[in-house]
Amino acid sequence: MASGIFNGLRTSLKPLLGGAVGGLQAAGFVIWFHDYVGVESMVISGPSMLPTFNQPRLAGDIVLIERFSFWLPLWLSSTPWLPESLRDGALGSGMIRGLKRGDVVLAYSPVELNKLVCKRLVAMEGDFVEVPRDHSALAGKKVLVPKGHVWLEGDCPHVSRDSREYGPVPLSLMHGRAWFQVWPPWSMGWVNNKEPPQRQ
Amino acid sequence: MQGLLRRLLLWGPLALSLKNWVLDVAPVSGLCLRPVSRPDVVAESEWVLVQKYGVRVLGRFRRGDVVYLRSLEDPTRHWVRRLAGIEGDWVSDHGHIRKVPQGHCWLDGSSVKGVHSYADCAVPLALLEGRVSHIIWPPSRMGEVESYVPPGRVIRTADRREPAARK
Repeated sequence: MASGIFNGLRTSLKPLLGGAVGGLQAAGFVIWFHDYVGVESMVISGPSMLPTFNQPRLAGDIVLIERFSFWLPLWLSSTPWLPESLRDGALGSGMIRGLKRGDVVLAYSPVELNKLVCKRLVAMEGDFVEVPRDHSALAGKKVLVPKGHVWLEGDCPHVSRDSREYGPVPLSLMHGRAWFQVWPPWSMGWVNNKEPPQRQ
Repeated sequence: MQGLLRRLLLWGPLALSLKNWVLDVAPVSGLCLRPVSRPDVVAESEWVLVQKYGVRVLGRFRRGDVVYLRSLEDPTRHWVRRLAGIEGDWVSDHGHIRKVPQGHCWLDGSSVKGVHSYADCAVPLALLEGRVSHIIWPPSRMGEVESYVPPGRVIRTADRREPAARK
């Protein structure tokens, strides 16, 4: 009789357990998608990317971002079993697009915890950047972007707080690349990823 | 074979997400912490337990914790270092006194000279991913990793309170 109760419990709990397991699996998939594919919409706030974003209301433009074009080449380039020819291409010049100069990226701010900033990637590791004379910390200097770092600058230099103030930003802080603008409706379209005029 | 693939696809993302956000195990290679007292010091080719939930989700970390963070040079690699100071602290760096910049934390360097030695440096706080809580392998070194601030490292904490031990 005890086994009968146990079996009864099992049959009635089964769909509940099945649902719970399915829920966990779905949650795992959602988190994985957010971390590694990362197609999501983000609200841009602040004037540092004028006139690309937030013209003229200074806030509220919404863009779609993605993360896989950043992570996939990095992961591929670090795997030892991939043939050499594929690995070079994986870093962005070949089949899989990585981060390039001119991309609009979202990154975690190095000077404020948990704050995301939206800037344009101007220089990559190995580039020399000439910092304009009128800005504070690194004014007038030629900075070499170290390995694993990038140089970010906002499109509106007068109000943007970026690498000219806090130096090269490690790639580990990158959060995504903006590829399509969805709001406001009259600005809808591909995000302008044109490489800025050479300053190296 | 098909059943295995199906199971991998169903459970893989969950396992990976738990590994990234809750709890992880990691091998330590090439980095040694300043030798303080056993079992604090984590040596090469040991495996540690990294608690990610507290740091990534709750944002809790303390001076003296051994932290697991994304490498400055390579986003696919990690460092295991001791957190000595946080933003606003004044720390002593081989005789110089430096202020930890805003948004950064001060990491103790490696005491082992050689290829894999790293100097003390300030890194952005956003790179922190977890706290090393235990050594889990080899069995002879199993134990908790203590949170320990080397005396004299932090000269003045950000909230202007006098540090406890003064020489």
